Formats: sequence, C-alpha cells, structure tokens
Amino acid sequence: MADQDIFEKNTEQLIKSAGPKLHLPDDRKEQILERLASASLETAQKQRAFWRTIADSRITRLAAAAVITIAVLVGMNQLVGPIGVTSVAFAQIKQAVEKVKWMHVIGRDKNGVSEAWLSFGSQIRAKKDKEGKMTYEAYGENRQYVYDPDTATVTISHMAGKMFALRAAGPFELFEKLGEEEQNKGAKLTRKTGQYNQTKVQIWEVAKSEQGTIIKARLFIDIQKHLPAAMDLKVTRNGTVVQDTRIEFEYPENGPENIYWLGVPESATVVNETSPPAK
Amino acid sequence: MDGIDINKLRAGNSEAVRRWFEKYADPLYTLVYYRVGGDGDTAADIVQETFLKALEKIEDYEPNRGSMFAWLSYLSRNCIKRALRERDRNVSYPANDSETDTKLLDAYSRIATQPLPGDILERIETADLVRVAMGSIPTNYANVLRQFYYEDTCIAEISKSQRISGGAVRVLLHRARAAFKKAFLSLVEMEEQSSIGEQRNG
Repeated sequence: MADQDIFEKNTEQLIKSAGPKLHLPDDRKEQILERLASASLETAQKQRAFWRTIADSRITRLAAAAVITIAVLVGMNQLVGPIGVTSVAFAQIKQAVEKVKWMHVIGRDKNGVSEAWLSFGSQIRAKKDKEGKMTYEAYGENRQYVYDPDTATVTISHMAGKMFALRAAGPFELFEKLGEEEQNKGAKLTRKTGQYNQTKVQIWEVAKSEQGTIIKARLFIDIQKHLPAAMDLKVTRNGTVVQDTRIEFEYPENGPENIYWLGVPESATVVNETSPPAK
Repeated sequence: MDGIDINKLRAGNSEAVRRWFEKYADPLYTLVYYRVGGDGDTAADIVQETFLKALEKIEDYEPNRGSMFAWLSYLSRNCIKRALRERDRNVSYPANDSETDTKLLDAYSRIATQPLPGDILERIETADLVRVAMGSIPTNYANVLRQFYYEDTCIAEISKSQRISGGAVRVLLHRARAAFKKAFLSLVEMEEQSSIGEQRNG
C-alpha cells in the first residue's frame, strides 16, 4: 500500500476513534460567557488604569519616568513572550541591568531637564527636578531628605509607608512586579535595529491607542552592553501632544552619597522631623 | 491564531473573549465529555473552569509552543482529575498524558507510513490525541474531515451542503488531512519531549 493510502486509512480510523463532535448546551454556553465577560471586564479595567497612569504622569518627574520605562519593558516582555529570539534577549538585558551599581536617568522635555539616580543594591533613590527640588531617599535607613529651593530648607523625615521600588531587589524584579499589577496588553510592539548616538541599538517600539489618547514609546537597547540607552515617550490626546520626552540612561560607578551631592547648598537650613520633640 | 487576536484577548476585549470561547467551547466540551466518562454536566463545569483559568493565565500561553486548543486541553487536565476525584468514579483516564508509553508514541509517529494496529486505535490516549489535534486545526478542516470520515458523507453530498464544487471539496480534504497530520505529529512530538523529560527526572 502506498504511503498516501496508508495515511488516509489511518486518518479515517483515527477520526472514527475520536467519536462525534459534541456541542456544549446553549444554556451552559450563555452562563460561561457571562462569567468570562465579567472576568475580562476586570482585566480591561486594570489595563485602562495602567495607561491612564502613564498618560497622566508628569513625565519629567523621573521616578515616574523610570517606572514608565520599567512598565513598557514589562509590557514588551509580556507581548512577545519570553524574549530570546532576537539578538538582544530580554534575559541578557535583565542580567546586565541587575549588575549595574547605579542607574542614572536623565529626562528632557521642552520645559527642562530632570535627573534621578537609583541604586538597587543600596536601596537609594535620588531626584533632582527642573524646579530645583531635590530628594534623597535612603530606604535602608528609613530616612528621606527633601530640599525645597524656595525656603532653602532640607527636611529630614521617615519614609512612612514608602517602598523602594515596590520592595524589588532589582530593576527587572520591579518590572515583573509592575507587570503583575498593571497590564498593558493590546499594545503593538515592533523591533528593529538602528543607531543611537553612534551606537548600534535595537529599538523596541510600543504603541497604544485608547479613548483619544495615543501613547508611543521607543526604547533603545545598546546591543553590545545589553543595557537600555534611552527612551522616547510621546503622548497625544485628542490630536494634541501632551508629552514629548526623551529619557536617557547612564550607568555610573558612583551615585549620590547624600542630598548635598545633588547640589544642595551647605548653608541650607535643616529641619529634622525624625528627632523626638524636646521636653 | 486562526481568527483569534491574542493581544485583544490579553487586553480583556469582550468581543475577542466571546470569539475565543465560541471557537473552542465545543471541541473542549467534546474532549472533556469523553474523558469524564460521558457526564455532560461535569464536562460543562470543567469547560467553564478551564476557560476561566485560561483567561486568568493567558499570559502564560505561548503560541510558538503549541496551539491554543492544545493549551486549553492541557489546562483542563487538572480540572478533570479533580472532578473525577470528587465524584470518586472509576473512570479510566491516564494520570498524565506524558505517561503515554513509547509504543504508542512510536506508532503515532508513523501514521504517514505504517498502518496503525487495532490495539493502538482502541486506546483512550489515541482518541484523546485525535480530539486535541482536531480542535487545533481550522474549524472548516475539522468539519470536512468529520463529515467525510466519521459521518461517511460522500464528496458529492459535502459539495452540495457546503455549496462548493467537488474539486474544491477534494482540495479542502487534502489540506485538512495535511493540517491534521501536522497537528497530530506535532502533539506526538510534544508528548515525546514530555516523556523524555519525565524519564530524565526519574
């Protein structure tokens, strides 16, 4: 018997062995669909909350910028499944970022420049915004130092309820934690190779449109170092650009040791709210 | 993914969820129905549990690792086991498909070249694998294979019922057989990998 005949005979017997196709009763279909509709509504609500957070963030506040970058990465990871099929694999990036001592984030938009430093090892986050406000948060010591340029005052206080990077041990754990909380499925992802500041990069581009708001983000990954080099974020609402920001990432060996490192004048008045009141 | 937009599904788009459910509800019900010994109510409960679990775990679904239906059938396994335990019925059901023995897998892998022995065709695992393969191929392919092989409908009658020419039915059947073969062999390969993995893990 020719192979084709054998295969056809086998197919016939196999299909006969499986029995007839059955139909789930209509009333049960309705019930299950109702349950699924309610479950999917919860997913959709979560997703909307995520994108609203991105669209409404003051992007030049770099803590938000870092979080957005992280969230976009999470989204990309989830959209394409385990990233490992391209020259820059997600696992490689994760590994590279987790080795860095400091992540220096520089955000630029039409209003100015803001900077932030993150150390996942020593659990420190420092920020310097374009209005001159500086913050140094030492999570290990449960202390935050906030410099107000208007009053030239440094206020020291406890970090009531604040968690460093959602208690994440490293940036990509943070990505994962955010991914658990907020979902950005439905975004479209494309990836291509290009140049950024004369460096060969892979460009991950994600776009999302919802209720008149369009968000486009591009992440530039240094192919050689496997580290994020920069990110663009553009938010358009009802045809008007509401955010157009470039965020750059650097990985210095050293970062802020204290709030003065950021440029707070030594002469600033210090108000220590962590000391017990004098009797 | 055969008309199902996975991104929309992940986003909780209600229309995508409805389409997804309607596409796979009957094949999954068929699969589960036989596995639970022909208990329609239990099968329907398991279908509901499986879809809800699948929606919750939709992130875990990786299209490059297998068809959506193969994934759904995988998710249904634990629901089936639990349901059977609760009912305490002695229904013959393999504890784990990966335990399918090498003799079966060997025979399955040769469907294109060697006749399948009768004892293999009678195995519950064979019918299960066929149902998963049928649920993994496009619906029009599964339908025409069922019509032609299971219901013994001739080409002229299929042509009449589907309002296509006899030649088009033959082409459809040819493509459907090829799709079935591919899906079936791909499942066999997955079972083999799973079996090897289990043996290595002792």
